[in-house]
Amino acid sequence: MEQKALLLVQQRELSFAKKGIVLSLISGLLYGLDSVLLGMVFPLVTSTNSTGMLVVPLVIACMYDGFAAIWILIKNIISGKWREYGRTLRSGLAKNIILAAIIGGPIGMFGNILGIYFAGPSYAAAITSAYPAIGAILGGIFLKEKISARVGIGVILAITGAYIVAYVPPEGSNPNFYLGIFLALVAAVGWAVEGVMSTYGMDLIDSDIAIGIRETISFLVYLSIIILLPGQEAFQLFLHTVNSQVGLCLATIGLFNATSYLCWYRSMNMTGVTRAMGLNVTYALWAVFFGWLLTGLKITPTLIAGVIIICIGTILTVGNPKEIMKIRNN
Amino acid sequence: MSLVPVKIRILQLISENQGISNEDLLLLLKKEYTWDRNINEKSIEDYLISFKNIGMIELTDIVFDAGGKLKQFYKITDYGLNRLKLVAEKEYKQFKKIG
Repeated sequence: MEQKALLLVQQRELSFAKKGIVLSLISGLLYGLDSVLLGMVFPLVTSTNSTGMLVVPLVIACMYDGFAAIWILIKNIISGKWREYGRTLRSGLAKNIILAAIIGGPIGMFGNILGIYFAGPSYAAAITSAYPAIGAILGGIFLKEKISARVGIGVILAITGAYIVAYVPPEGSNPNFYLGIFLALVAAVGWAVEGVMSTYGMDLIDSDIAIGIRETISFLVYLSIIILLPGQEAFQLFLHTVNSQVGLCLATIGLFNATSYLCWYRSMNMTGVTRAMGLNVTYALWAVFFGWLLTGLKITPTLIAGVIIICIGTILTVGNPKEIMKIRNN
Repeated sequence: MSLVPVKIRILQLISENQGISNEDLLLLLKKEYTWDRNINEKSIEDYLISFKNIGMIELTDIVFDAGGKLKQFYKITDYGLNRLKLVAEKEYKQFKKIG
């Protein structure tokens, strides 16, 4: 092989690896922004029904994923990839992506929303921030991903930082606290399984199509639940919200959601599950920043300590991009 | 003929033509996926790098062509072939019938 040509190939592969790292970080930044914006929209959607506390998150989650699915479809039409939707759904990999969509979307995301409802946002976020650790273990077992000691320590530090940032001691007693903790754990496992399953599928299908199908399936499952719920009140709330100003807000938030997921899926394919998840968990850091910027969140010494730990963890996780040029032990 | 996802097709083509170059791959894909605007040098290169990073294909040679462009030659690995057969068995059989 020509030495000059080999160097050029290595340079291209290195730039591919670096791009994957940047995409992981962007996915975390946008997810942090998304979480703050969603928190601002929640109080704007109200239901008079006694089950409103469950119906409202369901309707918001449905629209959140529905708008993201539309934005991703538009992106895939512009880039000329839209024909891949049908081909992928007819392929043997379709069930993989659909199952990953249901586990990460309606099971994972709704578990997270209910976890927040029952156990409070601090505990739920503290538990779900452990998802990269579960992902790293599953990635090591099922995808045979190589994890260096430095990257492993980086992921653990990022999770610890996210835990410190999210954790706030509870006030009062909550009878459904442990149910909430369990549901947050379901969310963490759900997201980790989604990441590993979809990465396995993305070995042979385009990541932009995989996430397009994931968001569409997730939306359709939420919508089916909304339609099938007795009393039609959830469906009425859905129609009312779509046709209101809140619908426009959710369409905008859906754009951030779409971009965040596009980056997350691409980065899992480009840098491996462990790194992509370890860098995505920086969303806790960005949630603090955007919370301070948009909602006047108070910056406490604990938050600063958590953010510093996340930063150190992130630097260690990024590590040497050259390691990404061979992700797995096959 | 109903087309299979582009990434699967790339792996099929490499498995049937060990040592195929990125340029030849692009030409073959452009013939089959006539209407797909995403079949271009950049997107195919990204697919090939990701296949290589996860150990599905290997570089066999690299040269500069007459125009000074990088020409890379690939072969499928055992892992790549197993994944092609296992994960996309349906497409693999379909391709074998046509081929």
